[in-house]
Amino acid sequence: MLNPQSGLYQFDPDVIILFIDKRTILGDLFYVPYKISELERRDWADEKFSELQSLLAKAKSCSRAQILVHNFDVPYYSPLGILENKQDFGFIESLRALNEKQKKACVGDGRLFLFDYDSFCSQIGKKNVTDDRMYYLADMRLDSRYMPDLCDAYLMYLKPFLSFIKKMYHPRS
Amino acid sequence: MSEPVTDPMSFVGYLNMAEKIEKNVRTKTISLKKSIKIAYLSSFNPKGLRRSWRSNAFNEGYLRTFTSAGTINTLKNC
Repeated sequence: MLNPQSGLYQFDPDVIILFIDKRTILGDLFYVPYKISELERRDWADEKFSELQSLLAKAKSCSRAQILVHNFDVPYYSPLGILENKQDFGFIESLRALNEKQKKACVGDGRLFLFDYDSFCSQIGKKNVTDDRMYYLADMRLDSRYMPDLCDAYLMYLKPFLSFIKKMYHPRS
Repeated sequence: MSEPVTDPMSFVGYLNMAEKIEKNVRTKTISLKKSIKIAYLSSFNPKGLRRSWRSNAFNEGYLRTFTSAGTINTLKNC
């Protein structure tokens, strides 16, 4: 995405869908979220948001595509259990904050759209989102049973995008 | 129980992958009046390859062109 000469931009897509999941963005923190302090967690959220914005800015400058970016599904489990809600800026709060920042970044931007993956996961049940067997075998983060549902959810964006594309190429039609 | 796969012209590449892995996954075929080129970039491997087979999934993107006739172009490693 960062390379303007890459196949991504040569492909000249109408739509770019960017799906970065929470396990990837959290890295080791997904398994040991409390190995960093609250202050470091705030810095982490700011840093990840900046990285995401840099990626998206690059994609916007190098292509004419509409960009659909996933937010992060907020985990339903915390290693701190009931004490999670006693944290000023805990693990779960950090992902919520990241989602909120992403949402605000999309407001007023005509080419950047937020796909509410957290709501999508809530709709199907966060416990059911990942098939652990296929996650360990094939690194699949979403249970294949729900992929058609994900496609359905994408369609809600893609259909309006098609009309944007039509206006761009045929403004008088 | 979901319907068996009957139509290979799945929508997002996800479905093609799912078709190979689970024979009984249901698929959805949609019909769009115009073609649309979608670049699908994910932080994990949407092809469902074993971990040992894939290189750096974070850097892999799968580009597909979708039309009403299905997937007509695929690029990867962008």
